[in-house]
Amino acid sequence: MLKIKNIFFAVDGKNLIDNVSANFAAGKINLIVGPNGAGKSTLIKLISKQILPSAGKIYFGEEETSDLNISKLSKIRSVLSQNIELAFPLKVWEVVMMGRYPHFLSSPTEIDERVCQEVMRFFDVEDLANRNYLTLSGGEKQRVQFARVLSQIWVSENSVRYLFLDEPLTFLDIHYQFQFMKQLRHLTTEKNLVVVGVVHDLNLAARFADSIILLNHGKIVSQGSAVEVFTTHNISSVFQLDAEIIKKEDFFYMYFR
Amino acid sequence: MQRVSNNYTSVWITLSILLVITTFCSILFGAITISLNDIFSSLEKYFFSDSPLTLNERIFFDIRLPRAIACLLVGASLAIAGVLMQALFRNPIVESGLIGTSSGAALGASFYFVLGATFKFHANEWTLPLAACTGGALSTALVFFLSFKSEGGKRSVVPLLLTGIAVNALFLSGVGLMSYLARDPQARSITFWNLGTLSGSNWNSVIIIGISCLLCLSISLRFAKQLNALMMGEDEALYLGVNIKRLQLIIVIINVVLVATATAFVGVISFIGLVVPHILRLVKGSDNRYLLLGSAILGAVLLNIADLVARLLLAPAELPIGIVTSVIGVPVFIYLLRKNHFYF
Repeated sequence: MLKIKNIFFAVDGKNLIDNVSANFAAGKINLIVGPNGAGKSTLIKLISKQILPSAGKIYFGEEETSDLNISKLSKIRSVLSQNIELAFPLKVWEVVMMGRYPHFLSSPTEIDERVCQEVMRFFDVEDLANRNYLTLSGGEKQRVQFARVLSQIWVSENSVRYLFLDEPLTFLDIHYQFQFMKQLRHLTTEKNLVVVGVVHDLNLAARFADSIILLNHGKIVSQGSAVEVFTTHNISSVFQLDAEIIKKEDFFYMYFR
Repeated sequence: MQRVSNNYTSVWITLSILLVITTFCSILFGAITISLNDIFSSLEKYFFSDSPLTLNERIFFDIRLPRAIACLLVGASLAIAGVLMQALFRNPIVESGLIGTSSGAALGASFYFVLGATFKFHANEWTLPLAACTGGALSTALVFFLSFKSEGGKRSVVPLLLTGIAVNALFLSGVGLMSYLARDPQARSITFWNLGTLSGSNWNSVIIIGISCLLCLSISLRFAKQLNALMMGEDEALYLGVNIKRLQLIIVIINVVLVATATAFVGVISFIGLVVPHILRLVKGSDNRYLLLGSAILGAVLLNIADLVARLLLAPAELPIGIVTSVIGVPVFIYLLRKNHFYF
């Protein structure tokens, strides 16, 4: 379980994150939504320990992040960003193997090789293994990055693992968006991951999230299930849009005017 | 299922053969050609008997051999430094000159040439290397200090690059001022040193450059993995557990030691650090472990060839080796760039 308690993040006296507290349970997909500049990516950076909060505490299980150094952290949590470019040409499998870097010293062990193979098969990039990453299409690159990021936390060393996603779907077509979210759902349950992600598409969030946080001006407006968070009132106050919500038994869709 | 490993065997075999051939050529040929016989008899006499060496045997033992080894080590040092800088700046057209190391060393050396002649202070063979090393370390430290101050906690190499440009300009105008103030023979020394030469190599310089080269190579191999991760950007490397600031500091220190030591003994030699890693990347990709080891060998090979050309083209006179590396390096670089847009 990932817990954040009363965190603030201020730049030049302005609170980009303003007293945010939340619990993210293992085995659930937690998604953060909100308008541009709401502080979604900042929140991901804070829990990734890429930046440190001005105040407040973040706990990975029982351990506070300030007690976890970045090399220890890199063994149990991985972060997927959007649109990662390489400065130099590398083969696809070499990129995927980078995910195993925190786990071996100088050359990959058998476990690392095996994980690399499994992950590439899972994300359907096996056939690309010997291709130059720089020559791939945007969608292929993103799938390779999924594979790399998941290989980092693919096998357990008896500890809970954490996966943070910063707008991972931006460069994917709708087929791969859905495929990735389904794969994510499968992995989250199977490996009991703590998943926290930022997505832009509210309907996609409603479709796949177990728990949603709606962020605006660095504050939590609402958190809970899709039905609880996506109300016409919340959507008009945060996005200035009128929404019509279509609800059936297991169907939830917002239509924006 | 596709095998997940790279096969570098062919590269290692090719490089080793090239290394042996060029080293032998560099020992045998020059203003005077010496034979394999001279080599064996010289070694035999040196280690097993007290009989005096003939002229050719002396040339081999006191001039050609240290020069060839110094050449290998300098080539390796510059190429390794090139790999490190390119990896650190995530840019294939960067070399050590960029963060001020070479220009600082050049200013140190020109101070030595001008002030040494003016004030007639006691100078021995160590004064020039020391002056160059001090200059190189100073300029690099200055670049680092200034850029870290302006960074404000953010990890980025952009301020480092910009500060490097400014400090380079400052130090090179210092070199210009020294040349302007210098009387004719010293001005010529400055010019000659700035173009590089291996003619002063002796066993002392071989030992010093050798220690610096091997030590730096073995340390940098430990960081090859972290430098690989840096290819994806500083954020991604951080997520993979890389301590960016520490890595930057270590790599820059290694770079200063490598470049300042080599430059101190042989002067400024450009393009080796730029071209060598590039060629290797075109052959087998960019894994830094492979690049570091491969560059050490290919850098040695290329500098050997350049030194041979420098010695043979106008024999018995000698061309500055820096000119040869530029003349060979630039067309090769441009040809490779145009031929192969993507790497493999």
